[in-house]
Amino acid sequence: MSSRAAIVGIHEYPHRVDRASSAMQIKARSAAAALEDAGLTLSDVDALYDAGEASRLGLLHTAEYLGVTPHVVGSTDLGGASFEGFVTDAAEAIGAGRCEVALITYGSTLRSTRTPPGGGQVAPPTPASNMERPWGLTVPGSYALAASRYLHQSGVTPEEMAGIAVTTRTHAMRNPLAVAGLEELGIRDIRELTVDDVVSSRLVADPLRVLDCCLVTDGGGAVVVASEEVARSCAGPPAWVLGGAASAGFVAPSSDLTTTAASVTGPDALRMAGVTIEEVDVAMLYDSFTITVLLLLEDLGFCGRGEAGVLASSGNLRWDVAGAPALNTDGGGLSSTHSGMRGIYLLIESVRQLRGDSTSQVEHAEIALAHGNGGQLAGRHAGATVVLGANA
Amino acid sequence: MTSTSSWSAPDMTEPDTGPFWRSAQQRELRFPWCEPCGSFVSYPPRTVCPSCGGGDLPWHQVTGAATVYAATTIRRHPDPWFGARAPYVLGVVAMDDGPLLLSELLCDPGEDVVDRPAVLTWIDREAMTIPVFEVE
Repeated sequence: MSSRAAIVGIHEYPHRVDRASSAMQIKARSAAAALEDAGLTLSDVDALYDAGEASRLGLLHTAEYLGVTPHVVGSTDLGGASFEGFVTDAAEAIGAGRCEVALITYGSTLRSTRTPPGGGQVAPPTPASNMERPWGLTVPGSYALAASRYLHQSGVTPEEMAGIAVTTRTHAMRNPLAVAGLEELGIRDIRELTVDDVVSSRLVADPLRVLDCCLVTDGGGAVVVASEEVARSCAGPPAWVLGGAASAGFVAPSSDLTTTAASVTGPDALRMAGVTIEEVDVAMLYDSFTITVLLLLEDLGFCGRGEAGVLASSGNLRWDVAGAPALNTDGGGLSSTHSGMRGIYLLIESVRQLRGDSTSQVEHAEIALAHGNGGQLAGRHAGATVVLGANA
Repeated sequence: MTSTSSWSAPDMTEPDTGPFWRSAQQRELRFPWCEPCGSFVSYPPRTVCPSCGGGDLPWHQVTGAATVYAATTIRRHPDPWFGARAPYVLGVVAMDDGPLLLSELLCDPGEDVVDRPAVLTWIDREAMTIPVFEVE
């Protein structure tokens, strides 16, 4: 299916620690920079998408701040996967002729203010929260439950799982933004990792250790999705939106903690794109934790059930090794940036790869798959997959 | 957010899960049961059946027998009340009667307990009775 929408502008806010800025400021600066990257201006924007991470009714506040009067809006909060959902929706709206230039922007001061997405207001209990909070389940603990079940039933070892962290750090060390970020974060001994480094790091929630867990940063970014007509008039090469899908997942009566919404959205997005998983050159997979990536690799079909450990420890996910897609070539949430909702960064690096601009550039990168995971694994979560291509 | 160092106790007035915690005060482990579907509704317990959409689900008691489905040892918690008690073990237990439940496991921190049998026991926490599981 030929695409009628493309990502034409991107910007990644450079700082991982920013005590002076608000989330709204980061969003606005990122928006302006992404539009500049596209050769467009705020007055060109006729569609606006916002996940509400900076405030309640976030879409309204962002529209006001930027002075944008949209003809199409979207605000589906999928947590970290919101941005993949927005690209999917924007491409559809553009394809339907409802708008021409869609702006998607994000900002967070999670590290500096420790304010959770949405502004941190105390929420009334939900059935799920009333069954989790009393036990003192943490976010890493919830992912650890998934890891516990996955490692037990697959036979994958923590050492194999650590391969994700090792490969991701390799990519981060090649990315000046990531290295500067690690310095900003005060990480000592900034260097490539070994499996032993990972499995001897401090336990957070067994079996997950510090180096199995993403960074906690400030940050933000924006992408601009445009119609074919606008895209062909932009200076840089467009990253065509070939397919996209979003879904919600949860622990079903089948009691499987190891299957995520990616098992739904991956096939949907690939089918829409007319692309097979084997054709994917770059895999930007949400890495809140190493276990997240293992589960996504299997759900999306990069390998069979129980085989992600072998893939992770093979070294084949490196940028410079053929035989498997390059994974998280910016350095991921594990070693570059994770400001609470990482989905925007997956899209930005996917576009860099298709432009030939990545710091770990895959030769002849033509197809990139970005998959965001929102919410909480081993619990209610979202999945959203976007397939981007260098050719329409 | 201030750290007031008190337990985030379950809300016994929450409409879907309040009955679970109220039954616990009588040392009874109950879950909503859908008669037409012949199954419990759990994870979380709720009062509309996700299979048939039926309501008016009676709360049936289960036996205390279960198997550990997944487990983790929480080594740190940002809230001081839980942080002071770390390390503690949490697990998803699969009750023999069907429901899934997140609970605390009585076993050694870091112990490999997945697929081990576990049995319900009751403990008191700050004037409430809560169900935990002894790993066998």
